[in-house]
Amino acid sequence: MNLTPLLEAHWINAILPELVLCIGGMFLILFDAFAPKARSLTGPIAVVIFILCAWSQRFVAVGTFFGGTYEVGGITRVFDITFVLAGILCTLLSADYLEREGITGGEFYALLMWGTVGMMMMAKGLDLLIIILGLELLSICIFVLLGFQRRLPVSNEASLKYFLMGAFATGFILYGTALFYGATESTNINVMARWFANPDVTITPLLTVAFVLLMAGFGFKLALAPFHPWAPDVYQGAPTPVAGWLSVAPKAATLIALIRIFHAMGPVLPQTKWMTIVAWLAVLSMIIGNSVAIAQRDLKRMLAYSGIAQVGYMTIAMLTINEDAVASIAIYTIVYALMNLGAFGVISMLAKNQNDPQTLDDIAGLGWRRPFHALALAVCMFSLSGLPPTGGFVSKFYIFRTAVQSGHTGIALIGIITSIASVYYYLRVVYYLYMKESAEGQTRIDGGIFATGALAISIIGIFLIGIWPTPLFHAASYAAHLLLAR
Amino acid sequence: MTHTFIPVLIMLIVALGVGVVILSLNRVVGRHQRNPSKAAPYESGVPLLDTNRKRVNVRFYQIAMLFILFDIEAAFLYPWAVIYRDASHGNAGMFLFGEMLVFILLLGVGYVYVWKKKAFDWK
Repeated sequence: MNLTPLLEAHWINAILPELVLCIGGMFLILFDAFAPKARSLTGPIAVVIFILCAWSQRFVAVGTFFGGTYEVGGITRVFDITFVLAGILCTLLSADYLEREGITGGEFYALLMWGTVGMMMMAKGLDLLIIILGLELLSICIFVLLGFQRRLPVSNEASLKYFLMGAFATGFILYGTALFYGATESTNINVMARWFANPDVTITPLLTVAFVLLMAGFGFKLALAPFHPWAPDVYQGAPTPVAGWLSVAPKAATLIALIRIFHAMGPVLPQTKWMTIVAWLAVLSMIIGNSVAIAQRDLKRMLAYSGIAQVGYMTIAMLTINEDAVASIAIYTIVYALMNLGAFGVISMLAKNQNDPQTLDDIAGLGWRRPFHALALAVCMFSLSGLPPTGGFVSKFYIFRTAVQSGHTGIALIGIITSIASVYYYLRVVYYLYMKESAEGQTRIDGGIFATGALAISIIGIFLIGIWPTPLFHAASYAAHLLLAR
Repeated sequence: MTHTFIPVLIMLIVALGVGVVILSLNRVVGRHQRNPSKAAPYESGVPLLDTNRKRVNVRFYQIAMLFILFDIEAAFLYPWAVIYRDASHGNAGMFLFGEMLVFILLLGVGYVYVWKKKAFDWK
């Protein structure tokens, strides 16, 4: 038995960010166990570990590692930054949130880090099994994070719902993978790509079933309609910073994994109806997400439906995988992380019993009581609805431009129309912030220094990308070029 | 080819028939007396003292979970120990050793964590 080819040169550099987060997480749980009195320090330490992880990207080795199962390249670094950004924002928001809710912290941040490692594995996995392994690592962390407020019934409900349905969805993905293995004789995406590139390949019903199973499983993780009904209940019950993180980072990881898979299938896609299935998922998500969000008064449920619609927009760009599509998805995920975590951040500061819904009435008149926090929420809402000069406008513009250039004009039109409809419920939040009187006994906003810092990061990021997106777009395009050039 | 299985089919029909006939005869001819002790579980055993749907201290689950965790660790050690001597030549030896070292280290961190969290104390 010869095991040496398993370890290429510089393999340790290839997984340096993952190692930093793994060891950082272990350090945090031990720190929490050995120094229970210094627990309030775990949040700042977690931020430092995330920053170390981002810094370690400088030393990352690029190439294929671990016997062709792990690929590190430009695009994975872009997505790593997205994951780390989401992790930092969630950590900053949680530091104050957990203290107010009386939850002890070390394990919380450790799970956040290990979940991030799972997402990095999904982004870099060049083998369906590695992607599933990353997905499971991520899912197990999410199950625990969702139920972290274990004395609250809603938190338990969220955790249990996500656990049962998530386990079911993973079953679909595994079954689809098994069928792909049966057809292409490999789970390695590069080998599958060579198999699909063979001009004699025939599309059997088996392959279509495999694709549908895979899309059902990943559709669940993305909260694409019709696999979305878990999202509102889970977001409503989850600890609010976790809900924000859950709505952003796992979706980004799933999208990059799907980009790899779709790219491998590229040669056979014109002779199949597979992309029609994906197009229908996108259309359904945009229509259902945007129309049901209008009826929501609970802010977290509204953001859940808005998230369903947002991932619908991102799925439009998946229909044709080219450089612009990958770059626009990368930018969309970064902007989405900034604006959605910002919005969830303000909601997480509402000091009330977390078992009760956080409704629009709780933020009425906030603009006059807490100008900065209200401004942050308003900017996030403008960005989510896609108004210039925010990052939300730029990212939506790239997505729809890519779709039109690839000839998906009809779907892009549906996207534009539904996103115009979405302006109603996003701006209704702004209306409540500035044009409603606050009532007696109004819910207090309780934002500490960390959470306020997180809001500042998201505002600055949203405007920076909104006003000056070209460097980011060029970097993402170049990374996408390297990914697709294989 | 198919006809070789006809005896099996006959066998199935006969078995089904016998079962149905005996059970329905019992139903038609037999006497039926119902009383509470017949409806109880363990009709001829010791009378039940209590319900079996009781809440159990969560510590039992905790201990069971920890036991399974560290038990599975041992299950992973065995195959490694079996192939280690044959597989270790050149770099592979160090590789296998390093892998197991990382594995033990991870479990060690978990062990220290649950110890410090007082999960082993029955209080």
